[in-house]
Amino acid sequence: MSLLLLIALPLIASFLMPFYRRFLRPVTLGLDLGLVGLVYAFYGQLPVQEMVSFSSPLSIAFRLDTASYFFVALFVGIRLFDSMYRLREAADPSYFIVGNLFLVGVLGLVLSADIFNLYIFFEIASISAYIFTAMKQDQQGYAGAITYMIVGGIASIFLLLAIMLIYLHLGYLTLSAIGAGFHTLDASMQRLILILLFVGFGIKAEIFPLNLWVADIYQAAPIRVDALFSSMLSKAYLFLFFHLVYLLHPDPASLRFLTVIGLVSFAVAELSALRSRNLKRIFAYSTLGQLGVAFAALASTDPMIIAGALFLIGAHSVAKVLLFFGLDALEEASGSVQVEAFATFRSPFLLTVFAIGFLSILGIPPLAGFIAKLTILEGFAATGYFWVVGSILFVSLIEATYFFRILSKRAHAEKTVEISLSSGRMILLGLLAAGLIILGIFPGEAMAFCTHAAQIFLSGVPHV
Amino acid sequence: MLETLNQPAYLHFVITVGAFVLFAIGLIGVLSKKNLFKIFLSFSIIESSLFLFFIGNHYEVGKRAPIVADGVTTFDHQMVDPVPQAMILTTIVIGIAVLALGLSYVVCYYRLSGHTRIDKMDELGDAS
Repeated sequence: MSLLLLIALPLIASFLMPFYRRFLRPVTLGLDLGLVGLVYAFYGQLPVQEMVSFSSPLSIAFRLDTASYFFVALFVGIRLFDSMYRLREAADPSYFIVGNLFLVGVLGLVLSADIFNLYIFFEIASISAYIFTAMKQDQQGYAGAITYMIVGGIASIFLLLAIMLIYLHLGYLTLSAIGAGFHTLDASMQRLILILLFVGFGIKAEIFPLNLWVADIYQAAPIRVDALFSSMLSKAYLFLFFHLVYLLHPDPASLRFLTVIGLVSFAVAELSALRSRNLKRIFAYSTLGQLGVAFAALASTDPMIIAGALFLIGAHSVAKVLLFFGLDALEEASGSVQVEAFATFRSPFLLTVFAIGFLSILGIPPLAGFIAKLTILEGFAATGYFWVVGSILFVSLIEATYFFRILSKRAHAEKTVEISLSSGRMILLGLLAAGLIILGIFPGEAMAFCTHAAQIFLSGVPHV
Repeated sequence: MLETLNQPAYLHFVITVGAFVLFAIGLIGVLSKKNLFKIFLSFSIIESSLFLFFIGNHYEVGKRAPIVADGVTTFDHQMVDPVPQAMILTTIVIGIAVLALGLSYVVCYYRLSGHTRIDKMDELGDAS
């Protein structure tokens, strides 16, 4: 079995779409189930490495190890959830095609083992994200897509220049060769390439101060697309950022700098959320905040903290899918995504779903987010970084303030908006919520997997 | 005198300076222009400067294009490095696709808003 199937199947399905347009919903579900099966089949074979087409450096190199497997499984799982949630809706061919392109982009980002193909998948993921942003075809959507394209264009230029300088000075494109030869470059050239990569991937990984555009994009895009951006796109770039960081072996001072950047990102995002009244923007800021915590933790070089960060990424992705899909139901019923609309809906089920999502993100026991944050905080405390522990706890209080402010709005408001979810959708949302609780109570297996993934993550990449 | 320019060091220096000037023109366009069309075209100029820089720095006078055809079956030392050529061809295709998408969104945006100015784009934000 080839890793190429993970990339080729969604693309082939898109090209052949006109032939089965009438059966799009079952085909989409079949494709996603097939991808989940494929990912499951690779579990016993890790690590998998493959060279496709010509010999190096013209080849396309793929690599699937425990660290990248974590993200591949997460993305394919979320995509399956999205397809099942849409099962009763009218089939949308354009969403099918762009969704496949998006999936190929994010899977390619975590699977690629050479830097030029990373760039190709970077562009594929970006183009599909631009199209997703404008999917509503309204003025806000186009304004958001244009803003996104301008920001993405800047990231693309920085990244392209970095790749060109790497090839010009090293003559390699494969990541393992770059990792081995990078220290032979001039110190000034190393610094220049690192800055270019930091800006290029930092913009896409949504890290302060390169993330000021993110809330606008979330506001412009359809809510279910926001769920995919929050749980897949930003996570793929975060993985990629630190994959390159550990590959290039930066000095400890640079890693401390990244930890500080992550904490500042967390604080600025949560403060921004505090003054916002649009739930899409609040959830976007919350995503930026959690990415900041994960960023700080991933820069720690401690396997325990990195395992906690991976667990946090998984828990946050599930919680954000829950929140955004819940918000989608709220918007469908009330026509608004303002905080005031949240106070007026009548649905105990949806309220429970929102509460579980909020509490998991806050890190309240017995939910998955609690285990993730506890592991991160324990790890930082064990390594003597008490100022990091204090910062995370203090900013979490700000996060709690706005989440509880949203929930408290309901106390005195009249409940006038009826929300009726189909039983299928309630089961799906219920399963995700139950997943957060189960992972919080029995984290053993998942945390063991994250710990192994963290060790692989820290070791850079094997030779391809 | 012009023969001197054939030496790789001089040639690459001239090409790098030319690419830098082109990059600066594009950058000035991105930073100073308010019209969305001009901003996207400025991005295109910046991209072109990168293509020129990369291809130019891998060119040497007297070497052939790395095309395996017409009886030639393998790459040899009389050809320039094929990797930059393949990379830039791919990047040009991506660049054109992104530019076309961007310009089409500007047209769609103009139809709904009646303007193409970035400083008047105020649809997004907490106040909206």
